[in-house]
Order: sequence, then C-alpha cells, then structure tokens
Amino acid sequence: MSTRIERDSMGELEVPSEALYSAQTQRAVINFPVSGLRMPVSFVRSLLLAKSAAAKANVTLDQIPLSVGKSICEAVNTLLKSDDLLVHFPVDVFQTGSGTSSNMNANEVLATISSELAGEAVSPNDHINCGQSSNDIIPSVIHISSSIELREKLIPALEHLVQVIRSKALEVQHYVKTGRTHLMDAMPVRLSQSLESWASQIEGQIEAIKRIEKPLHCLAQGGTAVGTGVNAHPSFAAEFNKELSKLTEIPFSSASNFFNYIGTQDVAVSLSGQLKSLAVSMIKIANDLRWMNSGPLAGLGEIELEAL
Amino acid sequence: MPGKVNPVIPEAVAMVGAQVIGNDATITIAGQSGNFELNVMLPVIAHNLLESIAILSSVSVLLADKAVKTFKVNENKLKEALSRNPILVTALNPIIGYLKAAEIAKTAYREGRPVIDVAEQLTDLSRAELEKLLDPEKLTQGGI
Repeated sequence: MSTRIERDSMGELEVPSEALYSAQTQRAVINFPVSGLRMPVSFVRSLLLAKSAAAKANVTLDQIPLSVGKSICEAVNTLLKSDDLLVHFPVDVFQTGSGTSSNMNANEVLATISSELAGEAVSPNDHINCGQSSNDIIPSVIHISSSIELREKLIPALEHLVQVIRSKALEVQHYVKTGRTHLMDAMPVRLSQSLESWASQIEGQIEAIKRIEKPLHCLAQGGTAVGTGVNAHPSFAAEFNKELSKLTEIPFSSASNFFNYIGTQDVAVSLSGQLKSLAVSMIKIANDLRWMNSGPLAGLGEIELEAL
Repeated sequence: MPGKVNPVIPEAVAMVGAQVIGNDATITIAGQSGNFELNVMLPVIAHNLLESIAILSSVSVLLADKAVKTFKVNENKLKEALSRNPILVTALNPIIGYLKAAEIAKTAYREGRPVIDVAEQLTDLSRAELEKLLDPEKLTQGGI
C-alpha cells in the first residue's frame, strides 16, 4: 500500500495515499483495532449535517471566511451523496469515550475535500471544528441521528405495523377462538380481540417514543468542552440550531443546561429504555404468533403463517 | 423435515427483541459513565442506540407484511377446540353457582363430552337455553 506523510501536533506518520483523512484518524485506526465495527452510517451522516450547520453559523457570526464556509457545506453535500461513505470513516466504535477520534475523522475528511474545492487551505481544527468541541458535538450527534432515525424509520414502520394489524383484525373479525390464561383453556375471545390488543400495544409504544422526541431535540451544541461555552461565539448555539433545523426539518434547540447534556446521557438512556419496552411488546406478539402457528397436528394449529 | 413451515419471521422478531434488550443493558451501564463534566462512553451509546432503532424498524415491517398480513386461519381447529372447552361453563356461574358449574366442567373433561350435554343432564336448563348461554360468540362480548 502506498502511503504519504501527514503531520499533526504529535508528529509525523504514514497515511494511505488515497485516504481523505489525515494523521489524527490514522492514529485512531492504529490505536483501536478492537471490533472492526465502524460508527453507524446514520451517525456519520448526522455528524456531517452538524458540521454543515456549524460552518453556516460560523460564517454568519464572522468566525470563518464565507469562501471557506461554502466549501465546507459543499464538501458535506459531496460526502452525503457517496455510496461508500464509511470508507472514509474507519475508526472503531471502541475508541476514546468522548468520540474525539470520530469528530477529528470528520474534520480531517472535510478539510481535505473543502481545501480542494476552495483552492485554499481549510483547517480541520480552526475552520471545520470552529466553535465546537468533541464533547459537545458528539452528544449532540447522538440526539440528532436518533431523532432522524426515529422520524424516518422507526415511527413510520410502527405505524405501518399498527395499520396492518388493524386491517387483519377486521378481516378475521368473525372468528371466535379459545382464550388462554396460564397457557390453559379459558373463556372464548374473538381473534380480532387478540389482534386489537397487539395494535394497542404498539400504539402505546409509539406515543411513549414520541414523548421522548422533545428532550431528544435539545442539544448540547454550544457548551463546548465542559458546558461553559468557552471558545464559542455567544450566539453560536442559536445559529447552529437554526441552520440544523433548516437542514433536517426537525425543530432542534439548545439544551436549557449544557452541563447536563454533556456530562450525562440521560435522554439516550430513556430512549433506549423505551426501545426495550417496545422490544418486549414485539416479543409478546411474536410468541403469540408462534403458539397459534404451532403444529400443524400436535400443536395448537389455529393459524398458518405464510411459507417463506 | 420436508414441507415443514417454521415461524421464521416471529423468531427473527424475538431475536431483535433480545438484541435490543442487550443493547439497553450496555446503554444503561454507559449512561452511568458520566463523571463530572463529561460522559465517556459516547460511541458505544451511539452504536447501540442506532442499532436498536434500525433493527426494530426493519423487523416491524417484516412482522407486518410477512406474518400478520398473510397468515391463514384454521376455522375447523378453532371450532373444535371451542366445542370441547369445559371452561365455557363459566358462563353458567351466575345462574347455577360456581360449585355446580365446576362439577359440570370436571365431568365434561373427565368423560370427554361436550359441556352442553353434561349441563343439560345436570341442570334444569333446557337445551335451547343452554345453546344461547354457551354460545362462544356471545361470550366474547362481556357483561352478564
């Protein structure tokens, strides 16, 4: 493999010639050969959107030149169109706990592309990372990526599931079956009553997930390294959220307390807890189907699942 | 076994559930790693949280389209089990009392007879009254 020499504050090292990342990313690749798992593509995409919003905010607040800001946003758009985005983001999940290596990875890749586009040197630290710290952007990106994935994938998927269960309940309304408690024969129920119970479970889960969206839309961005906001323009957080909300069509805003959103991951823990509850609901439905489908002769044999 | 149709989608759904519960355990521990001004398990939180969202999203659609939407109902099996179900006698509780109803249920189960036949023999209720009282469809509607 041919290499080139890159330099950072720690000295020189070899980086693959064709790589868009530089020294800091290469150090992380060498330091953390742990799982082979890369950060999820949805995380990387949100990190790039955050970098674009930051560049726009910094141009508005006269923190970076307009030409540099434009080239950063263009670089983000180029990367977001890439089919093979993760090639440029090789850092392992099990890296520094702050995610600094992933933040620097994004800064370096964007610096390489935007320098080419701008025809001038764009700095990963002074321009791309201007007004930010890994400590505020990585917690923010956890919230941003989860918000986007909930809105674009999970909630529509669950709404579809509810709709399909409801249609099926209507279709099988006339069937009466033996109810079961303790897995023992009990009073009769309609098959549609069993299905409506599942639909109601999933609807309850959708409502509960939507309640967590509000705190999820609050971001640590602007708190910088410890929550004080040192080294960021006083209006950076507000401008950043304005730009990010435009890019994502999600109403992001500043957390009322940056220290909380940098020092803790309470909202992510709540969301995960709610997803666990959803998982438990789904296992209930899956097990009801498995039991009803058991047999065909020596089991319950009440339904026949599609042969796949 | 040739021709065997296994409930593969529900199994995949349950495995996703197991993974999400495991991810939640990881995120719970990672959430405790906020020391003073910074939580230092951020990448593992991101990885697990986004994996949970992704796999729950995909498998919900499979559960809807490849299991719920397409299963067929074996009506004969449902009817057969209902007709032999001694528990239907619960519907007679308000009229003949719990003890008498229990006697009917046990007799029906022991002798493998339909509950309606045993109830006709052991109570003063007519066949027509019993057919109305023990109609499984009516029993799904609640009330007394």
